[in-house]
Amino acid sequence: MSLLMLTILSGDVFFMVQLTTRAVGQDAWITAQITSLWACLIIFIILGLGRLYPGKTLVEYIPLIIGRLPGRFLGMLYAVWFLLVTAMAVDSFGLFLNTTILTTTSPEVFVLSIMVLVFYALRSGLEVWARVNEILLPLVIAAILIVLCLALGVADFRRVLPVGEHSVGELLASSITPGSMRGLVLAAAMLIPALRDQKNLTRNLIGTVVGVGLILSLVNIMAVAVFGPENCSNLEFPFYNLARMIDMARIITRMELFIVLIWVFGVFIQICTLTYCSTMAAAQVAGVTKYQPLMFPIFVLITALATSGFQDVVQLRDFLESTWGGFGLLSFELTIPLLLYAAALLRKRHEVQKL
Amino acid sequence: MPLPHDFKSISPDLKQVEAYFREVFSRTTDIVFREFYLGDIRCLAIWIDGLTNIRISHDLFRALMLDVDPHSLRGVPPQERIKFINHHLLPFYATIQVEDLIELQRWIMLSKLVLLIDGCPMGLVLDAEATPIRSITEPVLESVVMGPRDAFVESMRVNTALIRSHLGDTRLKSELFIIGRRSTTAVTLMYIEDIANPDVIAEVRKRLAHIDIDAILGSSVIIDLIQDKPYSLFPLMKKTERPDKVVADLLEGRFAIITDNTPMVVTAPSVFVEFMQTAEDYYVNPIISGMIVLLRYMALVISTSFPAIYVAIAAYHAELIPIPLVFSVAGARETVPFPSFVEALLIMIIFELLVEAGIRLPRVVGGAVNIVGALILGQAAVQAGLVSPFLVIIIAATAISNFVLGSGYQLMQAVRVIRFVALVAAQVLGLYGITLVFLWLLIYMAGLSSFGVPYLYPLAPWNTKEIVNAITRPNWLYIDRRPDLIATGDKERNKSAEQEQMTTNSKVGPKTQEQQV
Repeated sequence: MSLLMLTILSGDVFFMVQLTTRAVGQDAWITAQITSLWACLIIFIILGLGRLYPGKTLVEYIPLIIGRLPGRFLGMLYAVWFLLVTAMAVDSFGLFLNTTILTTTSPEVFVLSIMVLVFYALRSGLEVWARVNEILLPLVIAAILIVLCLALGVADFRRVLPVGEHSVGELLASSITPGSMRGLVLAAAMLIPALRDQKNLTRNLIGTVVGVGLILSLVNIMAVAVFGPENCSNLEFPFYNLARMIDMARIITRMELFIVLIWVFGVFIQICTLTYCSTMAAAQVAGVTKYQPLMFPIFVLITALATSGFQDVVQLRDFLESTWGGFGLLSFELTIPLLLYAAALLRKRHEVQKL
Repeated sequence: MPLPHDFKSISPDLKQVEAYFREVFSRTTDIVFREFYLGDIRCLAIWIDGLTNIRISHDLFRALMLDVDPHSLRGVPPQERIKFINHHLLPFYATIQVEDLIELQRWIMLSKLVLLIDGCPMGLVLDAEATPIRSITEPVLESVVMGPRDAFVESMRVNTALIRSHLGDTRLKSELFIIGRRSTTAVTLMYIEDIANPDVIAEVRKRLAHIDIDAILGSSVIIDLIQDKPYSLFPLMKKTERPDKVVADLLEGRFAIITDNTPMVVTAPSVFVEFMQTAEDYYVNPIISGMIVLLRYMALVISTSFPAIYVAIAAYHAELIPIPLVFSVAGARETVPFPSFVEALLIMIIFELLVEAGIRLPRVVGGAVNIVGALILGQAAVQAGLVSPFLVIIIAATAISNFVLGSGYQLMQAVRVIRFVALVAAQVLGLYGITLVFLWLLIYMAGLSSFGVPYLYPLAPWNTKEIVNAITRPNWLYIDRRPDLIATGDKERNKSAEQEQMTTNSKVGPKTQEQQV
């Protein structure tokens, strides 16, 4: 399930640090751990659903739970949701590069270039980009850890104190938005039937989200230790600026370029996974067995949505802060699957009683 | 194993057979028809002049015409004559009795000597082959400092013998294929029966049998015809001229295809990391060769992306250059009239021209190319202000790195292409463009497979032990298993590590003073 690791991590590492430090200051790293709990909850729900309907994806078993017509409708909502989330990921990718390393290049160029590669990868098949992921994952994680280690020179860990200044309620509230990002683990519900290793699913998925949680905690701690909670919440991308601060013997400098370029690898996998999910969802709602014919239209849609979405990073941040939590975790990622799971359990019991 | 054809029987009447062959070989001056009599029975020998060992054919005629009692065939029924001669009269070690006229004809073309006897519907094929061959020399492409120095030659038989002499295993099988409607080229498929994956062997057998072409001009033609993807930037089958490399591949469960008239043996299934290894790695100190392998990976990165990174930094990310260096780089580039991309492209094309000229030119004039390259390009271009000295340094580093990859000559060619793609991407999108190119390469390579084995194995699918074997070079003690995806049979390679206890604890040699005391 390392596919999902990059899917979640890539969104989190640059976009979430500022939001959480803004909400809970130096306790942001605790939020990162709470967020893991949300994700674990989602994992248990989708694994439970997967056990009730083995070999089926989310969109396939929704009609079996709530009936054909409403099921179709909800499936369609999910297809659209995946599509919008993908478009958001692509859009934020373009905006991020546009604000950081290549400021005079318009975001459309980044969107188009990455989408062409994603199209090429998806056309080659799930297996192919899953293999690419196997090589990229250690690379991305190593790069993040290297940057964190190099930043130790400018860190002052007294800034992380006092620990636990904020109440549990505040921490929970602050975990909703990053929880939506971590909640992308929902994509597993679309991927599980395609996996070879069905035995260790629980372990792998939990390991994935907890691993991401640990890395994010480290990122949060380092960001706060370097900049302090106030500065951190004012910086657009604290982790990016963290990499900028690195200066080892006047040779190892400008690490931000390095980390951003490596991050491109991660985003590539993220977009691949999400696009795959949107295409699969759309195909299964439409009742098409092969998803390949739908690929091109979906790509055009994502590209169009991504290029006409947010105007700039400020709008993106505003969306993430105000809407994303409700759009992700509170509805499609946690609440609806939870209700579905309850309905499915009731239905199964009902069926057993009937017999 | 001849090509499929309709069976055509040999007439017992020698005159008819002779007429047939004289018709087939009309206006063919290098075919010899030698007529002689065994007692009063007429015999005919046919062979290609120059491709038959004179001493052996001399022995044949000596045996049949001088040593044999002319009446010895008297009691033998006519149809048994060939068999009788084969069993009792000819002191030859390699003979085949053939009942098919077309097959007989093909054996003649495969430079064997054919014997026919009047009254007998059969031909006798004698292996008196003496194709003109080069003697075994040192490898040209893959030289080593410490290790075996023999290289393959153009004769298939000599090559298979070389492999056999390195590997005396009864389970090493060799299957003969005759490929090419016109060229009738002998091709041998070799593999170790209980190691290689039987599905892969069945598949390669099928692919070889499906080849229907007029001539096989070399092993590269076979590669083109049977590899998994007709157009692949990366080599999917490995060519080598070293018997020890082939044997190592066979032991890892691969198969080898030995084509007549080619000094290059093809092995597959191949994976990417293989092309980064040399035979030398396994003959020197493991610690040092481990470092050399890492150096080679560095060379791979440098030779693919150095010029591109230069262009990207000069065009987009000037802030990456440390401040003291910025002034000298800018100063050096002051006189250069082109943007860095054009500058780099120019030098790279000229460099490629030099490489190509160096390969094609006769050795006698080869030195001239070096002088032109070093003096005119290195020196004069900089002095004239056409290119900056930094770029010349970068291109030189790229070139040297490229030559470090020389052992995987096939990979080196792919790298030459990638370098240009990366250069263009760097000009268009800076370092981000280079990142995209690498991403594209990864997707491309992840999609390749060689006889069912993923090309990026053992990186993806991940296999830690194999990765350690591939990017470092462990002591032979610890190379104990064959690669999982390639070898499906016997996986135990080396059990010496279990015996290690013995070697470390044994007290051999002169005792030290403390022990004596």
